[in-house]
Amino acid sequence: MPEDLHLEKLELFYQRQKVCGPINCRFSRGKINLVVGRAGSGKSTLLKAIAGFHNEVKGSISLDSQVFQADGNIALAFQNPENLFFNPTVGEEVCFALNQKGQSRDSNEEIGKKWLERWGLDAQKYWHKHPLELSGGEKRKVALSACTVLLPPVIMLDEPLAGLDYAGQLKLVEILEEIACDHIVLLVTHDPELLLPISSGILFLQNEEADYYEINQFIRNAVSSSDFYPLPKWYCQALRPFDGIREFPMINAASVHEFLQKKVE
Amino acid sequence: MLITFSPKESFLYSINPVIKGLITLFLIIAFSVIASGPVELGILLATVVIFSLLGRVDLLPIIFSLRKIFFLLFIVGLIQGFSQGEFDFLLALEAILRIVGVFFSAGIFVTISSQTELMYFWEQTFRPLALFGLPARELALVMVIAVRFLPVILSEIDRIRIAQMARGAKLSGGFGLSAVKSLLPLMIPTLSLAIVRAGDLALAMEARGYCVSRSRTRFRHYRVEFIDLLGLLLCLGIIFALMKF
Amino acid sequence: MILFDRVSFRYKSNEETSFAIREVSFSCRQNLIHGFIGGNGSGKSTYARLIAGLLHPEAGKIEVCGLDTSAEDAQIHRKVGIIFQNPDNQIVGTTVEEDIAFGLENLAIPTNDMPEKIQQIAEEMGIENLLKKPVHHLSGGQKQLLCIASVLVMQPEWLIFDEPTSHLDPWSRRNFWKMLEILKQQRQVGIIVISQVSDDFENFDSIRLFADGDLVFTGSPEELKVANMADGLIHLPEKWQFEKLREAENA
Repeated sequence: MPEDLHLEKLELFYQRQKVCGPINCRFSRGKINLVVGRAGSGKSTLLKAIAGFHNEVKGSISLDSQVFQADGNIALAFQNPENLFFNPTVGEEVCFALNQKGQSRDSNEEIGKKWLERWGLDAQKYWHKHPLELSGGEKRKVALSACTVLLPPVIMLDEPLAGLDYAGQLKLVEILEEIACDHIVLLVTHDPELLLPISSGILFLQNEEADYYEINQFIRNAVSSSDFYPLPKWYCQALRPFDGIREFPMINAASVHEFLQKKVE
Repeated sequence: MLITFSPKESFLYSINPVIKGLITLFLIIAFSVIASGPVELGILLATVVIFSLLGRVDLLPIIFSLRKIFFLLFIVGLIQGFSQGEFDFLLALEAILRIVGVFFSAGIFVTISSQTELMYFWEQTFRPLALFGLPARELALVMVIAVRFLPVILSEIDRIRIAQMARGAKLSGGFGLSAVKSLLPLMIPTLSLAIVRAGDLALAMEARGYCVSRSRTRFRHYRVEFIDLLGLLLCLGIIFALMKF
Repeated sequence: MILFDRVSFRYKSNEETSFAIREVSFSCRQNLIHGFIGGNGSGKSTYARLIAGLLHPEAGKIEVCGLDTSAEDAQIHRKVGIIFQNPDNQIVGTTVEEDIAFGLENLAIPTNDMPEKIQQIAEEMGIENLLKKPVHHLSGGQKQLLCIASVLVMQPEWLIFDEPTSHLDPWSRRNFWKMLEILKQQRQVGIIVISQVSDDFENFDSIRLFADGDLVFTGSPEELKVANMADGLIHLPEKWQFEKLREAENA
């Protein structure tokens, strides 16, 4: 099982112009690792660089102290991964990556079904359906299954929650938490609120620089200064008097309310 | 370095787009078919270069791009040089000058013509088709939209390529049918996204009041001025002067 | 003023979109920001397309500024501007100024009047120094501004935004709402924003909630906050839920 992905003095360039860096951080297994920043701050470039598809890079990437070989060790899903469908059935779509690698079709089917179940879909029911007949949320789950079947140690996702309704987002967060137990998961997002409880740290890209924060530190900075990162205003206002605490409540009404009640007592 | 439109202010840039196209066309014809020796072709090329330098055209990208066809020039030179048995340097030079001349003319045209001017050029070129009932302006608009969406679709193809390769797709290899098959993971998503795009664009254009049958005004007008005609005559004059009869 | 009078509509090839609109009536006043909210497949975008005259009702009548959308297409396109989600799929010109000019050409505005109108709108949207730029060099945010400018230059009386915030980063989202507020104050326009981002709700003056093609709620944000909604119909903003919890405690 992989333990951590270590970026050391990683600098990203695009057409010789610096995009971002130096990045020094450890993404570890067990919880999600978030990457946030404005549009154009280099989030996607970072994912591409780790995946080995962007070569204008300085510095080093290592997995458990070994030089990281991206090939075959990563899953990468960009925004709206359902745009990548090209097979006539869900089954073929999910097993595509496995079949490319060879191995027997039967064992591939088994793995594919396991992943569909893992992402929360009934494999029997969906296996022979056409991918484009599904609803938005179902498509997303099929696409994520298809990106992850190879069981890579490092899984990178760009905005997997975008475009899903609230119930779908909650479900996906639950599944992500489980997957992070035995994979290193990197997740790029504009909406970290739902994901913070299941994350261990945040890489914040800004003004060509990159800073890594432990979650509570990140929330503390955002609560005490509105210029740091725009977390919901009501949350920051409610918690500003308590910005010295070690553990912040989650960013939802019930948690904050409960927290405040305890403080009053 | 890519040869692209690089806006500047000069007499060359301000020529009417259609005249620009015609001059380029005549130059290309002159370089490729007129019966002349290397000396005349050399003079013509030198004239083109001098005029473009006077017109503040940045020739560096064109010269850089010339390197890409260096091998082709070399081969053509060899073949032409040996065409009469013994190697004839002048014949080789003539062949090379012809290709370089065509390359320069086209490169300069692209450097001094904006997207809008190119569209206008196409529209005017399509105009004779109106005689057969074909809509020239709509055809030109199709060209513009194609040009407009090229960078969008290219970057999309790149994204899809990376995503599919991360899924283990091998997008090259094999011959014939298997080569086509290995490209499917790239082709199908690209095509289906392009179709979605086309639908969205059509809707957006309709919402902004576009209607094929309605009369529209135009943002840009290009008049042919006296100076444009003078330029065209000058160009033809130089070409005729250098022709061998 | 927008008027829906017993409007019915269904898609001809209804495989993915299973909803149908049945005899729905409502009206929207100008000079307000109206929110059309609802989940995936609730029909909210279809309502936007009906108002913009891009779809026509099967039965019933839609009036925008006193004009029947089924009868007067050309006039409706002029009165209603719609900005779609993906800027890349609606920019027609190759440079910024040409894209803004596209709508003016369609309105048959004389060539000589165009530069001034283009300059004016570009200044209003803060993109005047980008006019000559090729559109593929613009950033995502600049493209969105261009789309708005290209629609505003036609001086519409209604502006519709189709899920404008769902793909923006949190900074751009805040800027978007600031811009919309300014737009509402400076121009005599009605604004409709389609959204399912619950943080957007408090920015609306008036909210319409759709589910399965039906209009299930009309009212102000304050009214939606206290309305008893069926479970799973809509996720209210965490802020409202928090405020409700606090109020319940204080009471």
